[in-house]
Amino acid sequence: MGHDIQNKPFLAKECFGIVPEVSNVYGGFSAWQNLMFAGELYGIPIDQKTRRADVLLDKFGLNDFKKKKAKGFSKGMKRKLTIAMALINEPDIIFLDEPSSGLDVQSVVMLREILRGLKITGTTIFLTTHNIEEANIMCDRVAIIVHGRSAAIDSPENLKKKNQGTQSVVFAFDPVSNYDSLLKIPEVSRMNREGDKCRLYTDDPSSVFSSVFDYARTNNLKLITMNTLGPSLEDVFLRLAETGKQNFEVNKR
Amino acid sequence: MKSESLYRLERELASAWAITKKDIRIHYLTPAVIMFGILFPVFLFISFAIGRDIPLLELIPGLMAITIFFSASSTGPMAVPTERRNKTYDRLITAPISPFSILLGETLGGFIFDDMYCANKFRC
Repeated sequence: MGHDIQNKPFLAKECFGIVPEVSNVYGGFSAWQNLMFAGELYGIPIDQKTRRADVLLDKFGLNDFKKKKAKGFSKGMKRKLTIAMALINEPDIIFLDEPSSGLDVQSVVMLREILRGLKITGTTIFLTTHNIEEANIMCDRVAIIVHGRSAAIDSPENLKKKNQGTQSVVFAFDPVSNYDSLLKIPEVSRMNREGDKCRLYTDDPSSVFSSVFDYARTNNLKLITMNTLGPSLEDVFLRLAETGKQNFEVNKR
Repeated sequence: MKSESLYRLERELASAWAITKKDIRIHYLTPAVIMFGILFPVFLFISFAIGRDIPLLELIPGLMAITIFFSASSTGPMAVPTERRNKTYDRLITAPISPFSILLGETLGGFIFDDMYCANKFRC
């Protein structure tokens, strides 16, 4: 944007909007008054402020609650209002700290649509999240931060490609068996129980497939589902977090 | 054309005024503040005045002092901690305003409000 936040915080802050983790709306103000106050802080002329507030209330579905005090709003409504307040100055950059935490599914889908719309209009969006799946579907670039340091920055698919070693085989037996003996298969590096299913991490899924078939046959178990999965962003995160943790401990010493 | 510093000053003052208005509407017009700032000094005043042979003109400065003391302690010092607790203070510090203007806005709110209380009483 061309403004150094250290030297010219006033100009730099005018360019961005912030949505903190906790919805910080004024409970004593109505939705409209909250938006007007945010506009006043950014020095937006009254006609522009009212026009933008109208558009934002409409976009976030808060028109019916325009004159109602925000303290009576639900968590999702407060979240929407916080985001609307961050957009009142039409920022070039918007920072969102866990925007979808605690929201219902419908609101999360709506929020994603709004963020996609902002991206199309050229707004740069910084989104911090603990929800890996959200990062996977929302972000062009993902930075994984471990112990305060950026462990990797790339697109989600590139990150997955770099971690091809973490393929997995997911299967379930009927009746549910004790899967522990499957860890003896030489190609299996790790095992996870996921509900009634079992997930075996491997570099060689085809060998694991045949070993699991053999196990099912010898123990007289019915194989009800079996899938091979590529590495998910979650796996990439776990692997990077593990490496990052080891590096952190080595540096500490 | 306005110089940059003049524009900045204008913006800072406008923001401080916005904070003042917000404080008065949200934090000060609450039942607790009205009880403590207006009614409590009145009752204190009555307890001092009744049964004593003191001229009214000598009592009024005392009433003013009590009102300012009580209303000031229940308005200004409450606004910033309440905002910090509700995390709304983050909104102010991330907005393009200097910390001085935030403080000016918060102080001005308490100042105007306390004076208003006091002036109202004096008029009565």
